[in-house]
Amino acid sequence: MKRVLIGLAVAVALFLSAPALHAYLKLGARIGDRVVTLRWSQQPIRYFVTNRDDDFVSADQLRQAVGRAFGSWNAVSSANTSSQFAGFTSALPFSEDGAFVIGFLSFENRPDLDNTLGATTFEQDDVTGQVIAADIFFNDGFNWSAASGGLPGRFDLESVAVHEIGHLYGLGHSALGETELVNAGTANEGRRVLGKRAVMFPIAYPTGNIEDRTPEADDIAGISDLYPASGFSAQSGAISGKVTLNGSGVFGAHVVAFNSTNGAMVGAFTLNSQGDFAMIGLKPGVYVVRVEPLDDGDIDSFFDEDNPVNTNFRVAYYNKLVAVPAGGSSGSIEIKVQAK
Amino acid sequence: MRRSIAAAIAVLACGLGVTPAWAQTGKPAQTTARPAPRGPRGYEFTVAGAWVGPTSFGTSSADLLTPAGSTLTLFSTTNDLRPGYGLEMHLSKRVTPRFALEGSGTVTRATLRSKISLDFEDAADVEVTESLTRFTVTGAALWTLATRGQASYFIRGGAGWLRELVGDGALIEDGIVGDAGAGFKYMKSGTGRRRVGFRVEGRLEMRHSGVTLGEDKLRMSPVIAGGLIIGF
Repeated sequence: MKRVLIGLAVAVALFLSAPALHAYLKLGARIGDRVVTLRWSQQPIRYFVTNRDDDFVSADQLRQAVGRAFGSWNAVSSANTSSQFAGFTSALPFSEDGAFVIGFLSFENRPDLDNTLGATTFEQDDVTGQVIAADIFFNDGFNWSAASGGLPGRFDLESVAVHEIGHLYGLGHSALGETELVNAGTANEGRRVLGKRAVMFPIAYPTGNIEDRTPEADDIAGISDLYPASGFSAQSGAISGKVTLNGSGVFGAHVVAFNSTNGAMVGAFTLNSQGDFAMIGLKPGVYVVRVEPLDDGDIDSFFDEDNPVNTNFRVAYYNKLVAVPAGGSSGSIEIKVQAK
Repeated sequence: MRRSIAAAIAVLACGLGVTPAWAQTGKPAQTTARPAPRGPRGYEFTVAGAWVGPTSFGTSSADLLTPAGSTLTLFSTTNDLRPGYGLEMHLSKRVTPRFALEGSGTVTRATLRSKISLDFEDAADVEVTESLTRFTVTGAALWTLATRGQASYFIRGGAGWLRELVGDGALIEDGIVGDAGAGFKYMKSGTGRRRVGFRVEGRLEMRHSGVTLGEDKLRMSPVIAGGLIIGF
């Protein structure tokens, strides 16, 4: 067995050779010469919670917050996921123990993780690719809150747990959000969320905010794609197509489908050199489709540097409304973009 | 039995907000004694062209949620169904001198439109569209208000089923439709088995479910139709 530590950019890159029809970013790993999508074949997922208290959150509060976070995903009616609390443990996350441990961890000696609120790791069988275990850690260098309404000055533990559990189930990052650079050129340089519409957006809301506790339409489409409930395929539809610039495919373009009847947005990426993309799990209806380049400063949250993401084009809309039928696809559409 | 039919007709007329002429004068108007001109068996078949007015679906924004709990608009859409044109057919049967039942089928074609503006990254405003085809099958009641020579004036109310197809039928949605309106018929006099004339009417059409670009499930639009009648 081989332990695969999932840094998200690496995970996304590993997934790129998967079929384009699954264009939500999902985690995966290269097993030999093939790419295996990270997916739990057996459920419920049994997890342990560390018995160690944080400065602000007790072990029992952590257990409750994690339970609620699992519950948010497990409540998605179009997906089949389940989990089970197996007990408290003195083991720490990030240890190769074959168990699934969730807990706080100190990263005083890991400056690369200074700005990381939480992370998820996996152990996979290096022959079959099957997930054997996983860990989730929360960085105890931050001030946390498990209060039902959140607390000023503290990050909401349940919100971050929902995001990490999304990774645990195999989801990559969503790009449904906008950020701005803050403290540029200083040691505290980072990106601040202006707005977002997906729990799986890579940057958390600031302290005191609890909006990330509930998966949005984009998250729901992704989890339903990975673990479809009975009837999901028949009740939902898809949009597929390609993004082109001067006749050539655009790699790494972010495509968003917007349903004006309910305000829902679902995003996907073009994941090959032909610019192909696909979004499944859409509620049947009529959609506006928009394509945008990834933010220059945020690419490594989605793709690694070996992938030639094209950000040199302008935002564009598909020139027609797109009809999405239940149990079917819009048919292939081509969105033509222009260079900046 | 006759009384019960008359009562039902009166209720229907009142329900439509129209008072029969005799109720205003205290005695039946002279025109009511004579049935509206129709074919000898009381059937009429109408083929008409129709104009269906626009339907607004309102505005809807692709909003992100800010840390403060407010919204950040990625882009905004203003949505409507543009005016459309179609063909409709009615087969009506006279039940009493004033009252007729009618079965109708229509097919209309219009354009769904979304005007996109306020893009967060300053993309130019654009308009995106797709065609919509609507089929309806309805049953209706017609009440003749007055007859003047070969012309008659009527009110109509009906309800039925609709099917709407977007584009080449990629998306198919069903719903229900109701309408209420008034019109005018002119039947050319003649002595043969068939008579011809024309019919013009205006209706307010109410649709529930079907294809929409807005949050409201109930939508309304005016319909104006006119065409040829064959009475037999």
